[in-house]
Amino acid sequence: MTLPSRPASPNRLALIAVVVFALAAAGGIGIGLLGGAVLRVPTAPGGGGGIAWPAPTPDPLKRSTAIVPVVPAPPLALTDQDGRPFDLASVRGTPVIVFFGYTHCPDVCPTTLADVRDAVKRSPVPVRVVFVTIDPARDDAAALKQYLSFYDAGFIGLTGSPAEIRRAADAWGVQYAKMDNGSANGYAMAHTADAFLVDAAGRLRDRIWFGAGPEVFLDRIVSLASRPLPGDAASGGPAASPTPVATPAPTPPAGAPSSSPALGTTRVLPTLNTTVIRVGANRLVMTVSDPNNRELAFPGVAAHFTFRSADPTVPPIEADGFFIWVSVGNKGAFVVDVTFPAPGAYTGTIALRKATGPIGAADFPFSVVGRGSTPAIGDPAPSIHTPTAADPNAGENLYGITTDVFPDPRFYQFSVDQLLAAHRVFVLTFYSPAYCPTTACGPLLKNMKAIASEFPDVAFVHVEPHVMTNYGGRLMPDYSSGQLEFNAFAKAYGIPVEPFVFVVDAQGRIAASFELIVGSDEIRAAIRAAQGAGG
Amino acid sequence: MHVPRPVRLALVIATSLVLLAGCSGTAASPSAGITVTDAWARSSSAMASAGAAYATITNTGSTADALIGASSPAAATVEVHETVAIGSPDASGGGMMGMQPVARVEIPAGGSLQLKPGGYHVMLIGLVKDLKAGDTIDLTLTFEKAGEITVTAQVRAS
Repeated sequence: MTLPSRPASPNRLALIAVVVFALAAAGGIGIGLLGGAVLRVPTAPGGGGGIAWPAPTPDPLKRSTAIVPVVPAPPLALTDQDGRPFDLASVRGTPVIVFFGYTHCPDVCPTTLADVRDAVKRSPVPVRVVFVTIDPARDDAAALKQYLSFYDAGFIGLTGSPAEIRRAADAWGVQYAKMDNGSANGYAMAHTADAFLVDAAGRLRDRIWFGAGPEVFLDRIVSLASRPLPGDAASGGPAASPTPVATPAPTPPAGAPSSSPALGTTRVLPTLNTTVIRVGANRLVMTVSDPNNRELAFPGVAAHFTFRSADPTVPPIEADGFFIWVSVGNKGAFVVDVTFPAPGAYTGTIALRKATGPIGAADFPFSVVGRGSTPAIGDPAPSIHTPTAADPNAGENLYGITTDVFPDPRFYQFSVDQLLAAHRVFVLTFYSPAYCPTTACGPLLKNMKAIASEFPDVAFVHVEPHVMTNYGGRLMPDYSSGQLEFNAFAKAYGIPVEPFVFVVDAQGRIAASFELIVGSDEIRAAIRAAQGAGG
Repeated sequence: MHVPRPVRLALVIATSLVLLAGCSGTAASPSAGITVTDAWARSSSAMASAGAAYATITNTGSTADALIGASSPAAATVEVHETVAIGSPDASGGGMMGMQPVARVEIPAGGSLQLKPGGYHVMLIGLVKDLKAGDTIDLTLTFEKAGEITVTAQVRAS
């Protein structure tokens, strides 16, 4: 494994000084470097020589690469390897790795390109790769095309005029300079060798050091989904649902009676994260922030809910919510269990308070339907044959039936119909680790695996809810309709969003269901209740 | 671009010596205690301007030696280069890497030199053909005292 950063020996420092001097020369005009220089090899680590070697980084995966604060990716509009204009904004929706280099580069650039190629090959999500030349004098579109096609024909190569390239590099904080070093390979280019990871929303998220290796690239790509940002709260809400059953309002209308001295003065913006709201028992999940996008849901904050029907004959319902983490230490939510007696339009009020007094309150309208799309509590769980490791298409590492990078075989051992026939208590999770479109999804399967280890007698099933195709041993979504489509398994359970988790008792009845945001303790409690009821 | 330099001279000498001596196929020169192991080259298109090869050199002898050149039938010209970090390797503003040829790299008695990505490497300029993963190429390293040592380098994708 390559050391993340090479230590500087006294000789190296002298060498670096020479190079820096060369770079300082305007335009990097040829300064012969070290034509006959004598270099001493630093003594091996632990040896003598008085050179202080830094302790090796124990685990490169733990080295931080996060760019804080998160900012939009700098502009990148140049000419691609086919001579066509290319704008980074055009690949929004997919993570992108951006790297600056040049084709006459035999060591650094091939190392990074090979790392990136290996990571992208193993990535459960599609990733675009953009290689920007900082040597436009030698790298025209054709040269880039030839060079990159050796790694992956899908890699995008960008070139432009020297001024355009300099402008782009400056925007990204990338430095480069020509080094006339007397090599038969022509001049070399010193350049920033770090690579950048841009998320699907076009935000600059990671700066990955040279020599990090494919594992680090893969880790950063995969973990984008579990590194939500405060601004992602809205995308975790019902807006993600193509066919919302309720009509929630993430933002109360201006001038709504949402604050009074008795209720606190902070303006509360509630987001209802539940779309299936029906007559009978419901579990509503609400995230809350202030107008500056600051989180208002924390442990120690109490949430009280009032629900009023538009029908005056239906009495108001009062209920206390409880706090759960959406992402531990980062984002929270309030859950309220509530039973609605009649369908129709309702107005909910959430009032937040902490020990020292009220924080604020807000109203939110929603609708209650007679019967939701998913099976209700007590309904029989639909019997479907879900994919298992025994399927011929399960493939190596189960990658033919799951997009989980580290699948737990226990989640693919039994099919739902087998478990219903065997009268087993089980937990059915509809979720796509790689393609879940909301930021609430990130750690769900990881949490479920931990819960599974606590309940050896309970079966756990994970089902990918989208229409997918197996490309070379890996599941990829079928985007033929332009968006993710739910598959027959998801439709059998009528889920309007993912993730969706059902706990099924030994009689084959739905004992609990969890939409979108799932608290681990809630799952544990529901499993215990189902075990107790199953008898 | 084609300035004759000691490094080039050394290479010419090294290449001549190889031609005279032939490829011995041995990876060690017991007299001087130099051993070359783990030689590999990164797969590369012949259309690329240059490829790179790497190896580990160990000096088990009692005196220092030095790498002074390299050659290979796989490329028209072979040079020893070093990739160096310039400025702070930390994220903000640093992370710049440069590269230049080196004429002589000393390997102390009992020490070792690793040719590896991001450090010292053998630059294969003007590849004769594509370097495909699974292929092998001959790589001759020339030392001040140990003379030439020819090893078989595996071509790997990464």
